Amino acid sequence: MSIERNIIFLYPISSKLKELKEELEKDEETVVYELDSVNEYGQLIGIMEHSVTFSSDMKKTEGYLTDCKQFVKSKNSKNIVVQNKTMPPHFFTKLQRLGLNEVIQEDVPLKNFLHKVNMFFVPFEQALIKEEEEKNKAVTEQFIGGNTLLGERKSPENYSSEERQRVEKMTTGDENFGELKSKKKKSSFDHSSLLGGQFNSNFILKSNNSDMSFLKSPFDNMQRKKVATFDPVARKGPLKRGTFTPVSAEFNQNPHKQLGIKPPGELNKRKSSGVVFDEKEINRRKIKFDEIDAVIGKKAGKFEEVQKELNRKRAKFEEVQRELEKKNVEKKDETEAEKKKRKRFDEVLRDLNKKRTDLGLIEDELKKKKNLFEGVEAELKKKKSLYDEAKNDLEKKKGILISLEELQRKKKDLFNEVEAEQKKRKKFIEEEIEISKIKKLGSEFESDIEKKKGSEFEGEEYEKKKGLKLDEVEIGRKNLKFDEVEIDKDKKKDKFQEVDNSHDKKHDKFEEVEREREQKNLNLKDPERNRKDGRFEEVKKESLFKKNKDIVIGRTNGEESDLDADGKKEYEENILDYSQFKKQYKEGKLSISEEKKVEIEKKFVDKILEEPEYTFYDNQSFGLEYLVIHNDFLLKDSVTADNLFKFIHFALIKEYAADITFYLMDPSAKDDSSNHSTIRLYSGHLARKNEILGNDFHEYETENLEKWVDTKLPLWQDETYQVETNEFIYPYFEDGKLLGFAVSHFKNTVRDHSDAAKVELLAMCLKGSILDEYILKNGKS
Amino acid sequence: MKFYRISSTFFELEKFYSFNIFLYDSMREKRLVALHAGSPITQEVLDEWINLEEKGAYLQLYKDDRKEFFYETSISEEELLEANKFYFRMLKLQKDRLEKYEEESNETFLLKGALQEAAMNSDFMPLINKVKCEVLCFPLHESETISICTELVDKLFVRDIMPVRVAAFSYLLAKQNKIVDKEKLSIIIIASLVKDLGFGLIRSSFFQKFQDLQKEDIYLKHPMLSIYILSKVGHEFPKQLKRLVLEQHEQADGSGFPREKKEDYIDYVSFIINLADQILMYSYGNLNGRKVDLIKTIEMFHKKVSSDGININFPTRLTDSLGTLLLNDLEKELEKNKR
Repeated sequence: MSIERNIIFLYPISSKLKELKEELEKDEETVVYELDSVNEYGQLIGIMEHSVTFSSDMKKTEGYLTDCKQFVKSKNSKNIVVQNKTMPPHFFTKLQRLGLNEVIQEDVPLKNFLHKVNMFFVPFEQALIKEEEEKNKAVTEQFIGGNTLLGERKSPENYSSEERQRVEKMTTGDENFGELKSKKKKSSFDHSSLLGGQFNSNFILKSNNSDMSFLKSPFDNMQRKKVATFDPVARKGPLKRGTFTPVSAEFNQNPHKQLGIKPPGELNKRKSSGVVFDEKEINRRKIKFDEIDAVIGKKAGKFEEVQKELNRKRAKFEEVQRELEKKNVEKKDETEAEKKKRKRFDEVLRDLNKKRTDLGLIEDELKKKKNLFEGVEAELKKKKSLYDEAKNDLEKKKGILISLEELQRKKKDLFNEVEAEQKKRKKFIEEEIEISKIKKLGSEFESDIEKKKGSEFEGEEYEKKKGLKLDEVEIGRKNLKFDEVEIDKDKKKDKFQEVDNSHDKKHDKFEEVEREREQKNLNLKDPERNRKDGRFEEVKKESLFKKNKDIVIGRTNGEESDLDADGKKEYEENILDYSQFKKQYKEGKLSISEEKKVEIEKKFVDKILEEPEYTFYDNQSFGLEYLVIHNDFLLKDSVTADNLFKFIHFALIKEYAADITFYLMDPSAKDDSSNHSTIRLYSGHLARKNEILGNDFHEYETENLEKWVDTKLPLWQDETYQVETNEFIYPYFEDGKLLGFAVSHFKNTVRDHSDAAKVELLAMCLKGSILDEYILKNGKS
Repeated sequence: MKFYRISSTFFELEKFYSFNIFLYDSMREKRLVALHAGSPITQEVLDEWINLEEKGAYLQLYKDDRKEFFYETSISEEELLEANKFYFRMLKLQKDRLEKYEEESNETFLLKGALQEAAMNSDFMPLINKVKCEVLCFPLHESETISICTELVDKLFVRDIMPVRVAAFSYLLAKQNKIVDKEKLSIIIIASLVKDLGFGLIRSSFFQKFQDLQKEDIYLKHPMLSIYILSKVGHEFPKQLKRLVLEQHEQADGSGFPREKKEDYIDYVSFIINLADQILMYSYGNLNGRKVDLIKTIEMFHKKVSSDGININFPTRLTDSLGTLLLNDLEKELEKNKR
């Protein structure tokens, strides 16, 4: 028992994959597909149960993985990329998320590839074998009346109702049962129906275990059409192994497959290999087995009959089956995994069918639209050809119509005239008849009537009546008149004919004029056509500048009225005459008035006033850097007070080229004594030989010491910092007691308060040292 | 530069000028028209200008009126530049600093790695240098504090001394805690540099045994002494800076000094300066006389492991942020092998 081993190669493939393909083609169990497009792949993968896809092009790989994510990600398909280079990890993780299983290097031996392919299919095959075994077991039990092959009788009561149902179903219609069990496992559709019953075609049926039962669904026709595009039949040639004949393979398969049993030999082998008995037992079982075999033989006879019956029932069952499928009834005897599989497959199938139907509909719509378009196009052509004919006809018809109308009008006029004449004639006749009647009535009343009429009527009417009553001469005269009228009528008829002729002439003229007009229109619309006809007339276009010789800036009144009258001028381009501007400027017409100037200036100034002020801030450090360094010195064990004094002296030299001397009041001296004894702790003046004081600090010191000692607050000799040599005294006090002081001299280096503050700070930070020195000295004393 | 600073001495009496003369009041940050174009300069006007200049205001000339100014006043370009000397000096300084440090300041810097290096070699210069490069690129026209800070950094951040280390570490810790405002960062740097200036007023022999000093009453007052010294500098520092100096030893639980403030009343930045100071001082051995590995010290504060000489009562948010400076297990192993 084996499943179909589908191997798909997605082109372009590397040389290694080509080798692999050739190798795989040799294997009869493997079906090799070579695909070029991702769409094709999408169609194929949907109907495949188990497949391994090889690809080496990264774009294609990504394409098929993204497009067929739902199929590719399942356990039933394996996706391998074969590459020469190592794939970047981020890209691999991306593809892995899409469903890529492995990336194999090109240099991996072919054996490994084959092993990988084999290892992928083996578990599926084993699962299938197991399933088949179960099936066989159940069927044999049914045939031997509940006896197992090993002779262990199971009471019918022991069967679960589910099992019984399953076995019953198997006996009634194995093929359909198989379909129920696993739609994917077997190809249940009739290939002959697909190929129109022709097996002798140029195609070989592809062995396909995939489920095609959906072809029996209500979408039948549509799907069959689409299935053709799936290419379930493989062409002979490179796409499929030439030697592989799935039809024969089907025949070679277990003939009892449809019944779900295995050949007895195979079954025995498996059983015997599975259980080990001693010889006696084996003999005993053999005898039993022979008996069973005999029973099976008998049953087999019966079975043939049953099979016929089964075939009959199968048809019925199929119908029921279809109904069941429609209702989507879940089978009780299906395992969970199968159910899941079936569900998933159904979903996929439904999706596919939907897409197919959608595609079909779209295609139909497209065809319809195409047909419509073609029809419209043909009509357009016809109309185009008719157009030219119609144009001429129309012109003619137009002329004819107009002439006919005129004719009709004239005819009507003439007819009216004729009718009027006829009416007149009729009246004459009637009058004559009356006159004759009157004549007959007698001459007696003649005079009376005449009198009556003479009194009653006057003017012309009377004259007429007079004439009407009259004698034959008069009648003759009237008749003559009638004849004249007749002649007149004839004349008018002739005239009508003349008019008709003149009308024709006019119509001809009209036609000519109309044709010319149309021609002119066409000349404008379609110059190409004119060229072909040789009627192209070059019309010289006059330049706008020539047309408007005098261009005046600004509109005059006359022009304005012109513009109003003729809308075209509105859209004409305004041309600026700069020479005119220059003239105006020279004349001073264009200069701004003083008021305006002031206004503009004001606006500009207002704008400027709002501009932000960019000022830099002075980057002063206030001498804090020395204090910070001094702080660090304090924390160091090796630093002595002398070092600190030196450091501050150094800072003053650096900043102001000044020297400083620190004095400590002698704690041993008595407070009341007027002689202040001081200890010089550190003298920068002496260390650097202060030039400001003429290198003679000792003398200066003795002169000023008294003054320095008496200083109670930090003191600058000149607080305006104007003197050349400025002296600064900084006394150190603690609890109102003078501990010592510092004296420093600056030669024009301290110029403002900020400098002074810096110096004060530097002197101040040594207070701790002075205090320490004072306490130390006090302790000693 | 849109306006040149000019002096009232540039103009002559009873003369008309074809350009506007502006007056900028720096106190109110407002610009006015001192004299409209075409108006005569009278003695009264000149006197008023001199008076205003003394008060801190200054006259200005709009850049577009330069030509007219030179033509009508007979003042040379050099004289005009001289009048704006400070502006051009600062402009040049800023340009030079940017040219020198901008590239380096934009380079990627891993504080964790730098601290590891510093712990191994006890060399904080890479750390200090990084801060220096960044701070010297701060604009000089934004605020006075920033300007002062850049100058201090320029002068001090060439030395690997404790106050500079603390300042640099505080700065980086603050950045780690997503404080990026330049003004605030400048305050942090200045505060961490000047916070202990008060030490100068304490007996110097006390510093030979720092552990003993901590027991002295005067030590507990040193933040105030620092403020006192700052007050003598002659510049009014921002309030926040003074606050940071005063709160440099305050702890979240109120166990700090000098005011025993509790967490809610303490500026978060004060904790940053305090933490940076304690970590460096403890690892240097100033607090208990024993030198401890810097990373270990950071770990102690991160895990809030109490020890002699340190106070670990900091906001959890801050101590947690120290975790990013510690090595993970793999890094530790690599570090061991390296050693």
